[in-house]
Amino acid sequence: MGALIQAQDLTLGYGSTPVLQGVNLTVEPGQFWCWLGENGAGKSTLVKAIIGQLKPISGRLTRDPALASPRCLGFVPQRCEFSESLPVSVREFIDLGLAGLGLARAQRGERVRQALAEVALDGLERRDFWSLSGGQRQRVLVARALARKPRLLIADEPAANLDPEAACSLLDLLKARQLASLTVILVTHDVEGARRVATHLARFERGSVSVEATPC
Amino acid sequence: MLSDFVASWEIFYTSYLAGLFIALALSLPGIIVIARDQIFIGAATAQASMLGVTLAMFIGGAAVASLPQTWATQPIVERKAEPRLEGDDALDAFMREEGIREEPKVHTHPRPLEAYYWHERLRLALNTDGFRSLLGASMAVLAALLTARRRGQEALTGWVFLVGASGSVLAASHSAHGLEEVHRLVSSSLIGATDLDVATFAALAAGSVMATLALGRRLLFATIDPWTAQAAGLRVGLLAALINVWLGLGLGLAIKTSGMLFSFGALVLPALIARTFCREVRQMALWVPLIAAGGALVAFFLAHALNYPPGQVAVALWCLLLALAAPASRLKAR
Repeated sequence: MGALIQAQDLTLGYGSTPVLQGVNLTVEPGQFWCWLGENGAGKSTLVKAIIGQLKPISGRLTRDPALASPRCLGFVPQRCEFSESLPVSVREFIDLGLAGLGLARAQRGERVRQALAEVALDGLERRDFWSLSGGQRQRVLVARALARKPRLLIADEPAANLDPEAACSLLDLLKARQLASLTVILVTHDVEGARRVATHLARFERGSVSVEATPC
Repeated sequence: MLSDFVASWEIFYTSYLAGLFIALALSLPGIIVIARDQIFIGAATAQASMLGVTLAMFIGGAAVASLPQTWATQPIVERKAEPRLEGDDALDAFMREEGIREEPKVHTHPRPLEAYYWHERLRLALNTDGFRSLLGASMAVLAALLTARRRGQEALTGWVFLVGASGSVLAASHSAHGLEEVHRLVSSSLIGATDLDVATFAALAAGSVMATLALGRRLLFATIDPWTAQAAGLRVGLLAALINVWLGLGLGLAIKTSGMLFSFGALVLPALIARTFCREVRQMALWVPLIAAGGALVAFFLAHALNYPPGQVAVALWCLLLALAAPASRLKAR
């Protein structure tokens, strides 16, 4: 099977100002990548390029043709910022993530149930999204991404606002999905956690990226 | 009492129907406004629309003042040549020789008639309700696009509100009945709605319902989590622009007919009421139009029975429902 993502001498930035230069990395199916680096190091910039929101200044960024369709891409943001007073149930929240896939209501309901079971939140469909704990909310975000049945899951600092126990639990969840053949890219500051779960690490420093394999 | 209200329908049906359709058309986009937590944008957009309406009045007045006095004061019919009968020329010549009749003005007009009609039509066009609605809606769409681009734009929203509020008074200050019109637009009056208004807002209401049915989930996804929605392939920018244009268009057109109070109230109050007891946004999309239209209908009945202005009664009723629903919802949650 070919690479899902391949960056060759890639330069990315905003306008003509480069943020990342000379990036070379290849993401193969089934791998678990952790991208480490300080704020502003360019991790999110590369995520934007992968999901098609940013064009390279120079170099090449090749995606597997299957990833050309956003249907095959799952995205987990750091947090959700909509009004806490808006009544959104867990079921509705995950269902919204299936918008644009052309699924019938019954199919969507089934996917919501499956996704919640995968993140061990069965039975919480009717709960209000904001009534959940921070850790549960992050699991719901993962469930929403998994409900799309993606080939590649990109999680942008999903554990940033969680206590250590909840963060550890979330990493275990993502690792379990990777072992079940999902490819994962996790943007994180947690070096220890990354070493525990990642098959590959990418360190973002001073506009460049260095890659290393791990024993996982 | 009910029979009196039914009997009044024949006289006030345009006002009632326009009010109902405005409530329907605005209440559904109101869900997105509430979801964005940008209620004040509704007020700023409404105020910008008022500025558009008063600017249109100012432009119309300036057009009248800038035309030559004779053009502005003499009716068109005087400038048209009257039908000539056989023998009229000879009779005219004889009467002029005898000093009985002056030279007819129509034959000495210094400008081509086409030019005269073009200017006159422009002057009339600039003084129509249509021009005022157009400018009001344009300003509202502009304001909605400007202020609703992203969260945390309170300073810009406040600026738009203040420019709209002060500008509308300034623009109307020197036009005939201008300040009266500003007062009417602020305080709201549904009386005087026309059949065209009813048709316009019926179309807008139908558009709101269809957009909610066809795009509701996408619009909500793009609103509450734009970053993820974009990653999922939704055209977030296009959807946001669609919402803002629809919001501006609805508010902009409604202001001229129903005034700021009723339009702003119909935009946010039904959604705020539904939010207190609904468990999902999908339920809100069912309840909001019911609260909007049902509340407006009850309010029109009360307004007729108690002899109060209908727009204000509707807003007061929605406010009362919100005041009752919020604590009731908290009690139920306990």
